[in-house]
Amino acid sequence: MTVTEFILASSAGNAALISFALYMVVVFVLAGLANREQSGKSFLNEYFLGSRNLGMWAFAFTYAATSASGGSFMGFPSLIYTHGWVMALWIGGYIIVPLVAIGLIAKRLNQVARKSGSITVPELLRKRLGSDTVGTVATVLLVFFQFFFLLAQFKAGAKIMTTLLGDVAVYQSAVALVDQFTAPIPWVGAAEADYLLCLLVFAVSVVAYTAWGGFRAVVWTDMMQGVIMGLGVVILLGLALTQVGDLGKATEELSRQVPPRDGNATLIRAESAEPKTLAKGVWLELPAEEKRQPFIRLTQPVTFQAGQSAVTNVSVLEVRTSLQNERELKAIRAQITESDINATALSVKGYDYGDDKPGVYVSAPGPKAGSATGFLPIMLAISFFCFWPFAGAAQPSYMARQMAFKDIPTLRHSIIFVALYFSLIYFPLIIIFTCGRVLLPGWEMDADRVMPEMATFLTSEAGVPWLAGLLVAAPFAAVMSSVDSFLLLVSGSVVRDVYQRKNPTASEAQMKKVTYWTTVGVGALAMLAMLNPPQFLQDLIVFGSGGLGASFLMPVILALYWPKLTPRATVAGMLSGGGTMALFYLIGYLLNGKFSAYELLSLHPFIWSVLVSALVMMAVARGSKPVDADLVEKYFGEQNAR
Amino acid sequence: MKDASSKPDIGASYRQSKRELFVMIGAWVVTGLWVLGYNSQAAYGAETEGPVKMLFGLPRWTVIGWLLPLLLANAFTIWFCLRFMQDEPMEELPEDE
Repeated sequence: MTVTEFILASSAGNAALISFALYMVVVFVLAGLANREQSGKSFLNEYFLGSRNLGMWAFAFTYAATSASGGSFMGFPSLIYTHGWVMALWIGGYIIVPLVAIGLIAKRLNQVARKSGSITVPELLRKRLGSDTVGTVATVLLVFFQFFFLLAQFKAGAKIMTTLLGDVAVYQSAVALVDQFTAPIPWVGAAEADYLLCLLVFAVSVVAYTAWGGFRAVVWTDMMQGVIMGLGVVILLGLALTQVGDLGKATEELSRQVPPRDGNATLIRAESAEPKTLAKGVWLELPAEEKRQPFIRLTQPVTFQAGQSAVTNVSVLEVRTSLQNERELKAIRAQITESDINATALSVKGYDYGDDKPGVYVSAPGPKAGSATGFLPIMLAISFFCFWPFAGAAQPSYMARQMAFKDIPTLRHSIIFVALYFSLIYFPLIIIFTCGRVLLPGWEMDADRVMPEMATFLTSEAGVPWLAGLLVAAPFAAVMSSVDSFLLLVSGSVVRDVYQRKNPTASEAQMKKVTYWTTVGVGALAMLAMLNPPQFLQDLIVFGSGGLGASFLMPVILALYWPKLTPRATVAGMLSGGGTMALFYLIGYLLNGKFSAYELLSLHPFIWSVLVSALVMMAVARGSKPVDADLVEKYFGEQNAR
Repeated sequence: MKDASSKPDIGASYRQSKRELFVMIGAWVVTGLWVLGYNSQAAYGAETEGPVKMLFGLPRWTVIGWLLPLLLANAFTIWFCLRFMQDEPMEELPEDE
């Protein structure tokens, strides 16, 4: 098939499948090339750090691509769509993230890692402080919190694929087969078959190329993925702005929107002997109010049996559109396909903050269903301003990259590149998905899918459905580039900090075998854990990254910049930081009955955890045995050792 | 900037890194004061102001309280990386590498 034939003949679904297949082929070619690079080099140093010779483009792209994870392209759009412009404040710390998150420790970390010959963060802490206990505690915390982060990415990857391939005939047949096979299996059968299939394909692909090519494959694919992400955002922005027509008018429509209401209704139809099924997402129009036009959207499929004229207790989302919102009204009415079904006995509940309140989507604190103080009270905004730069600085996956750049000019130029790259990603994403509220209303029912749905919608409306494949590849690339890095990080910690410590004489062949199987094992575990995932992706991501930040921020900063830090203080700092984070989530779970953080004085647990970690470290360091003077001299110089 | 090919002086490198650390934290504090200080009034009061105030088709507070500091932070980052951050000779890798 020629390119022209492909473009003309393909539907969005087939094009998506072909784009996806091409993308995967390139990924595996890169992994193969990376695998060939491993010959003749120290296996562990090459496999986990790419022989520490990353240049500017490689370092900058791998950093940016790993950072812009499934959270940025799935969870973040979902939050923008649900809460509006307040997300600019939520992500306010990103204004300065590249400088602080990279610059804070990168130079010292790279120097100390080189001097100590460390490949992983636990190894660096162990060697800097001369304590095996420090290394062991760091490994346990890293694997624990990083695993949560990994889980969220697996869910994101599978979700994107379900949307990407939803219309493909081969895929639908495969889903039916999987459903038939898995339905009787307890627990596994509870998951939706399409999600299950995509999770399996995603997990197998990403684990295979990561295990095969190691760090260099991850970096090379990150570069490609970084380009796709940047291109994807730029194209999406162009399409969204073109279709919304006038950004000012879209913002005005947004300012008149009020949050939807959740509840149930009774659906009625005229007597009919024919059975009828209404799919999830079907819209129905209700009688107009004085200033608003209410609609309901089904949040689950509904079936009328033959002769049945009413179905009660149907889950619905009520969307009340301002009569002045022409674009939004047009978008909803264009999707109404059922005119012979009526809804009665509507029983709905509005958001605790923002119900029937125009303006909430263009102001702070933003609407929220479960909180009377809104989505982002000012104290929480302050927390997140601290969270992103500092939790970012303390992510071991980024630290691994900071150990791998080849020289300081590479670092300096990379910080500039990442700053510009992030500026071109995050602010446009907010514009795109606030426009999404006007162009594609009612997706609060499955907000995690709004990114791929927007890509499909915008490209279809623009008459270029084949482009959906590339656009949806952007979040997919984001997820893959994070998953491969996290897989490598976890397997690196297990192999270098656990296996090699216990088997110091293990041959290179043995190390290779253990490394490959550990990567496969970690991936398989993550896949099993995500068969029935929690609803909100972002909660898992914030817990995972917050936990890593809380455990490692102060210990790593002080290990690099404070000669008087002691091993006991480091262990105490890691445990108290990570423990405080876990404790706040446990309290949140007990109070709210779901996986969420307890926010004491409206501050994010990360702030409390870092404070506790810092105070505990200072206190313990004063009363514990100082670190060996030779180690201090080695890492801080003679003058600073005194 | 220092000659990156000379022998590393770990003490001097440590002290320079510490100076850079303090400047970066200072930049973060200033950005925070601007973004959170301005928006604590502008963004949190926007809902009660009636029709949304706009600039370039966006809510006004997002331009003054987000986009503008972003541009300035990027300018500062470029200056910091090109002018203030020092090149250092890289440590040799240990024998067993």
